[in-house]
Amino acid sequence: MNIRKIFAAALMSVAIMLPAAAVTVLPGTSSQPQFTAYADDYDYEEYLDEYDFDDYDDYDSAPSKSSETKEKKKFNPVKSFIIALIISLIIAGIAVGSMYSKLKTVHKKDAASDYKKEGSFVLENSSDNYLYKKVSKTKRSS
Amino acid sequence: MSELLEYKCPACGGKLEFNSGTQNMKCPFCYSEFDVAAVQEFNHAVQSSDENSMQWETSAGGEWGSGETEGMKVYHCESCGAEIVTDGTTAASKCPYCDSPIVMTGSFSGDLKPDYVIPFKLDKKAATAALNKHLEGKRLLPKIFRSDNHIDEIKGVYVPVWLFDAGADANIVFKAEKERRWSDNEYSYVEKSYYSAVRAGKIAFDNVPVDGSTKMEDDLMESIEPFDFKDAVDFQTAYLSGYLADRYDVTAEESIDRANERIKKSTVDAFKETVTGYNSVTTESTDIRLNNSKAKYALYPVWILNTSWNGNKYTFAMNGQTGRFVGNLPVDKGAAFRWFSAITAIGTAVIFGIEYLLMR
Repeated sequence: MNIRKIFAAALMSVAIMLPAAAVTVLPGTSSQPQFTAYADDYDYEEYLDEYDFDDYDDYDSAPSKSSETKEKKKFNPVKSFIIALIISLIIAGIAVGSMYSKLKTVHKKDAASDYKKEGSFVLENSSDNYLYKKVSKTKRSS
Repeated sequence: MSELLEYKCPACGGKLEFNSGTQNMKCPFCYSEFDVAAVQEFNHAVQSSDENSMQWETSAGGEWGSGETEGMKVYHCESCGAEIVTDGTTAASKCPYCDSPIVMTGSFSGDLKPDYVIPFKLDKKAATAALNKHLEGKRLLPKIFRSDNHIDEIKGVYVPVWLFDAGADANIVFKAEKERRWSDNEYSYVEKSYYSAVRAGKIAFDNVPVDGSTKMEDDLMESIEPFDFKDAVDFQTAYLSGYLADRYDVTAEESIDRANERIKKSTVDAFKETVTGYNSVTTESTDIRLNNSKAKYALYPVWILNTSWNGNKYTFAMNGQTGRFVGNLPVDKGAAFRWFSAITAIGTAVIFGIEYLLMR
């Protein structure tokens, strides 16, 4: 097996798993941007006129959503370590497996394709006929 | 006399029954329903193609001419039973297969004369270089194995092989499956449609080799393939000079099964490639009939090295024509553990660090 391909696969799996791991550790993290480059263009006057902020006075005592998110953003070393360890174990398994496969080069050859006479293959009859079909259904999880 | 017709279910193999209500054939076991014409065609194709006829003309090898074997010597290995032939100018002291001392038992007689020989193209220097290259970059190879190798004892051996030529008329039935997936608000659906794909035609094979020596491992010999028969020449004893030649102890008749296995596999694969546009294809039945089939006896050039380590024997082989080198190597379990631990430790530290930087 080509060791480069294995390493590429391992790196890709890390690349795929890392963002997923980040989302797991930070459930409050959103992919939506908090600020935009167009903030200066925004018409705040119109926004303030449209909404009556007095309606929101009742919520002053409740913890604000942003502070909750800040708390969740905190780095969890135990979780992060476990995720890093699992990914590394997978990478190490693939790498050592590849090193092991390089030591085994003797394999039985089941086919004789190397000895096919050039230009000897002639397809004289080819027909495909429909037999039957089966349909299965599974309930979708909401 | 009436003939009782029985049709097998293409889905489960059960006996089909005619359903008068739907005017179709219905399986009482898996409840699949089929069009009558499709079932008839499928059963006809399968029944007419469930027997292979793979017979061979095996009169390979020739008679030795007078004086041709003069001076040729036979050595016998008491350890593995190998019988090695050399010409008058070449002396042998150790068995190429097990590295045990061999003794000369007398002059060569009997046996068939090989039809062809592929002369050695690569010399001992190339073989030792190939072995050194084979050992390079193997991180799990025990270091002591490298230093203990008896590289100088690599030997050039002509290995006896039976070569099979044949044309094949094939009629093969494949079962192909198409899959369609969709979903609505409540369910996900998978529809699998099955087809019978019948393919018929011709294909031919030249010089399919089968190892004629029990001392040479079959998988080792197959691993150094292919040999290019274009370099083969009519056998002359002069080609044996400086090399050892193994005597065949597997006859052409005994090699037929292996040749048939390989030819059948490649024939099915070639026709299977023409069944396209499906999600999966399986072979339902095969009818392969060989024509113009004949066997030849040849000697193929192989460099062989045997070495022992920790009580186990390791054999390496190099194709003396193409330089392809193979041989299983021992594993240093300690090194494997060290590599596994090091990669895990470094990987954990790096990924942990990246996570920290992303989330702080």
